[in-house]
Amino acid sequence: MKSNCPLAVWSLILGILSIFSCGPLTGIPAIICGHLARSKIKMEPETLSGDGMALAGLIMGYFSVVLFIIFVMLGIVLAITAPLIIKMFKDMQGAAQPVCNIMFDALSFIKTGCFCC
Amino acid sequence: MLTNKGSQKEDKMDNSKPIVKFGEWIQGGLSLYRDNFVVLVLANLIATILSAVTLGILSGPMLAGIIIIVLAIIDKKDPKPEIGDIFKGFEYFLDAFLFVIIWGAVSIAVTLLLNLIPCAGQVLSVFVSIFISAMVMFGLFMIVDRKMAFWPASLASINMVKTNFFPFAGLMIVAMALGYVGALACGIGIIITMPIATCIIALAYRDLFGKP
Repeated sequence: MKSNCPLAVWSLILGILSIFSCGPLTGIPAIICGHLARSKIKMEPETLSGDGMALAGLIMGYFSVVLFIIFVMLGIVLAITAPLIIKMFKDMQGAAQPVCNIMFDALSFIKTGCFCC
Repeated sequence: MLTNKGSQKEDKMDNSKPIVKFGEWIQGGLSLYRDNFVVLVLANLIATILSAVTLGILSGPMLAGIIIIVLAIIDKKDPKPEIGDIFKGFEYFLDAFLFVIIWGAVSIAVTLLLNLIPCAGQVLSVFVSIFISAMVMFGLFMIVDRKMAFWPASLASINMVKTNFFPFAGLMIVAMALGYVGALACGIGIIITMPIATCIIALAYRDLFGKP
């Protein structure tokens, strides 16, 4: 009778947690447990099962680590470019002020014209 | 409720197209659901939570787990299937994962492309997603029941459905409509009613393909 490899079960649980909340904090242990479980199952295929669980844990662990790296890189890019973007918006607002004034005047003219009619 | 292999062969010989037994399968599916309500709903609840929490990564093996439970109920296996049997779906993790991810991605990509066409594209996208779901409706059952790989299972399902496409598509639409009835109750009800669709399609699968 085959039994589930405990490391495979741990890999699955840690993998779920890594996507749900903890990111690489549980993602990396999920990857380690997953690899260990798969090699153990390969060595003892008659007594151990749970290759699917280990694979699921591995995929979720890697996914969460990749997601975390992408978020960190996005954060760094935003932190560097944010002051430049804010400055650009301020400049644009300044340049657009006369255009906005003309549009506002035109709108108020149409409004009063309509009411007069 | 189920026809034996002999009568199934007769059906196929009488008429090269497989017969879609709408009434029998829907009625059978509903009674199967009613008789095993607790197990099916709790299994579906676990599957929905785990699929949602893992952004769909576990939806393949979870669906495979539900199919294992439903097929065990149909085959009247002893001991009776339990809620924990849903985790047996992990035995088919890779193929179930590929099946759900690839066909889901194909469906989403086609829908997005068709939605670029105004008005007609949106209507067309609904038909195309129904077409894709109907074509691969037995795929996951093949993976679980016959231990087939993702691609041969998809092809086997497509080969069966294309012989009599419209009745099969109709069955899929009716099963899905019954499954999604619960969505009317603030969306949460879908957890309670979704197993109905699985039961109906599982009965159709067992009737058409027989035991492995």
